[in-house]
Amino acid sequence: MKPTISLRQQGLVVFTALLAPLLMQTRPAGFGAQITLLACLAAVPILWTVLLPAGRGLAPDGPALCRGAFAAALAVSVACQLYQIQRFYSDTTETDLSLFWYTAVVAAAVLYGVRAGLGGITRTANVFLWAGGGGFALLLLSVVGRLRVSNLQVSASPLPEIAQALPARLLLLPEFLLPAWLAPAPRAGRRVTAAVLAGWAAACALLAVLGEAVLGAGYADQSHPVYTIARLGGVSVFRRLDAVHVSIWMLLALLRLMLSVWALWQILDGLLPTARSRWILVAGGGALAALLALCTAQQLEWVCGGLLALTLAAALLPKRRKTG
Amino acid sequence: MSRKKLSGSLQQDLSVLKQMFGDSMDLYAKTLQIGKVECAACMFDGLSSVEKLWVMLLDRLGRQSPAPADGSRLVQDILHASDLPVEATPVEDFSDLITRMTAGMTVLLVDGSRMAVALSSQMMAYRAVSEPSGEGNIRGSREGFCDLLRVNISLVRRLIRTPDLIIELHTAGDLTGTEVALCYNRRLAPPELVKQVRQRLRDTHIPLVLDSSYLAPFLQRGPFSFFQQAGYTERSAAACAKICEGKLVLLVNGSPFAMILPHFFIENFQSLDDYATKAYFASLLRALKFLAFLLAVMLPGVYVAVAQFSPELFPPQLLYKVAAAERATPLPLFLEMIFVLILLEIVREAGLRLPKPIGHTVSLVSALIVGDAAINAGILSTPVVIVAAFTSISMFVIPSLYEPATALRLLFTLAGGVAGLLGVACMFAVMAVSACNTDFLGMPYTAPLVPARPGMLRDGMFRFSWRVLARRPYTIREEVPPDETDD
Repeated sequence: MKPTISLRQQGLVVFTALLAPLLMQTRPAGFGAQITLLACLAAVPILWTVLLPAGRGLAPDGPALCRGAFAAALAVSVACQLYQIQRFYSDTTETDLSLFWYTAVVAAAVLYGVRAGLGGITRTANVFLWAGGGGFALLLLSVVGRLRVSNLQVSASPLPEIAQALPARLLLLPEFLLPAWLAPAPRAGRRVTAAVLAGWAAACALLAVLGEAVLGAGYADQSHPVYTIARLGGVSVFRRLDAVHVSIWMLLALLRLMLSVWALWQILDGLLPTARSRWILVAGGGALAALLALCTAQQLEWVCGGLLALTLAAALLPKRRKTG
Repeated sequence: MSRKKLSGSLQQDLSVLKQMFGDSMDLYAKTLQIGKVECAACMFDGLSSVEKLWVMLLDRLGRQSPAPADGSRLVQDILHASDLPVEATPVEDFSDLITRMTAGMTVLLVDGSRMAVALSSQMMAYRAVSEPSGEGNIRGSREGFCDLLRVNISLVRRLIRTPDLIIELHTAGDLTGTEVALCYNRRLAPPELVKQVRQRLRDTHIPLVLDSSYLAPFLQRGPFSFFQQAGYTERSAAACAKICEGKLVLLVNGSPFAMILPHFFIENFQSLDDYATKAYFASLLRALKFLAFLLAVMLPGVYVAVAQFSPELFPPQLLYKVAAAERATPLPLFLEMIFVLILLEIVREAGLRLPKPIGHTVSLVSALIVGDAAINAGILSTPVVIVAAFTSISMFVIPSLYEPATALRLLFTLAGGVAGLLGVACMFAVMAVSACNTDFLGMPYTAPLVPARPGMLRDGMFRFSWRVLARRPYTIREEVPPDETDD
């Protein structure tokens, strides 16, 4: 009687992980809600088409280059996430937390989750999604008095702006490939990928609309748009509900880290089965350290996206022939 | 235990018996003659009544006529042709003989027969059926399990009067040979669950079993978790309710605590009273208990995290009071909280272990010294003591989660003290993973909440009315993992 992880649960855990970067944005959106919504709508079918080869390439008998590039992308993504969490936390709480304690607590939680495996992570995602849903309801309740439909900016000719906004929406994230990797068959993986992309786009658009309805034209210039809304909101005498929201977003970020590290571990375990082959990890670690030292956070995200593009390109290579 | 067969020679069998038990002063072995056949009545004084044996049984045997000619016929007559209260199956080996003698029966060894007869002459002292000290209920049965397995089985059988109730007897404990009864409803309990638990019981090798909890580590497997996959109850009504949900109940001789398998997280917030009150009130109480658990576990850590790292989150008036209180104490807030929590645990443990008359003194002394003198002397601050006391009171609402909550509370305080709200969030993630990663033979510990199932609303966090529950009662068959081809 082993617990099974259904496709729905797989999609749910990936979608929950994707909420973290949406909520903990550390850069201005640059565009209004209308443009964001339309760009998301346009991005979903494009991303889905681009991600089609992923299931085939990431299968155990797929090209080693495909899985290797995916593993490298996951490693870079993990580094990006660690940086993003630390930066977002210190920006929003104005807390000077030492790097040692930050690493210790985050690593303890993430490694415990990785050790639990996908089953534990998936069920935990349900809990965090409930918490996220409750947090969002609280957020809505706290800003309902500030919502103004008149704040929404409507552009008469949005096409040029959509074209400008689209590249940012098309930036690949490792979580987009996870449904294809986790699914038992490529067809099932494509269905879950479509559902995840649709959910991600809907969440993106909803946050953009909410942000603009509260902040008006200033929404596009906010460094932490969702946090700004949370900071403005209040219920009765409770004016600092942003601490509650940040705590819940931290949970989502931890879930994303757990999922990424677990996936990375699984892929490396398959790619480097023997101790002798694991010397590559040393070289990989060195390359990652160099990237961290030389690149900004945004550049790292583009490196990650590039590695994912390589993954998808490598997925088109012929499969490995079975030996013996 | 020895599976050596009875030899048929009375002297030889008696000799083996005395050799097995040495010079045990409670071993009673009396030779007698029934007709012309030599016999010996063997029992343990204190478990069996000599008076009962002689007055009720052997007097009647002595008047039996015509007397059987040999031992084998005597045994057959007693087993099949007499109205004596004997066990249905004869004793054929020493292992069975010891089992029955230690169960309080008298075994009649008969010369010339390789079988012996077990007579029901039990009379042993045991704690009477009474209301359990814990699990207080306003309505419902007040009967609790006692220490004797047979009595406990009868309490269950009295409440579930259908043939679907199955009670299997097993033995555990290499040194104690403790009887363990596995109770379940054969229509509702998943067959695979019953099979696995039965097998794990058989595979359990433990020196002694004095309580049902001794078996828990052998029955529940998997990685470390703060939470137990087995539940316990002292109430027969609660045990029967679990059997009617398809769960397995283990009764251990010598223990008044029945073990329930599997046990879900949400059951810690449920009680028998929930089903005797209005559905809306029962739901409210469950939500209240859940909130109490979160407060009990997280409040000290959150307080320390906010006060140390993000004091601006306090409302201004509260902030002034907290800041003033902390400025006057010598210890850092984080250490102060840890100290008070540990002190509360020491006081609780002292009150539990001491005799009742002295236990009250402990409470008085701790309240005076810790609660008053330490605060007046400026060693501890009032907000810390208030938070710790409130935490302890919240914990009393859900005593079944006391162990994990105590450990988690300390860890939350540590995490909040070193890393603020991020530490609290990380610790919450660890707690969530610990609960979500626990399962019993494929059934998640967080069922039916996670993954969400209809039972979550029907009889999980909330409770629907009996009209709804009666149409579709909750059973654990809903939590049995579906086939992998689902979805």
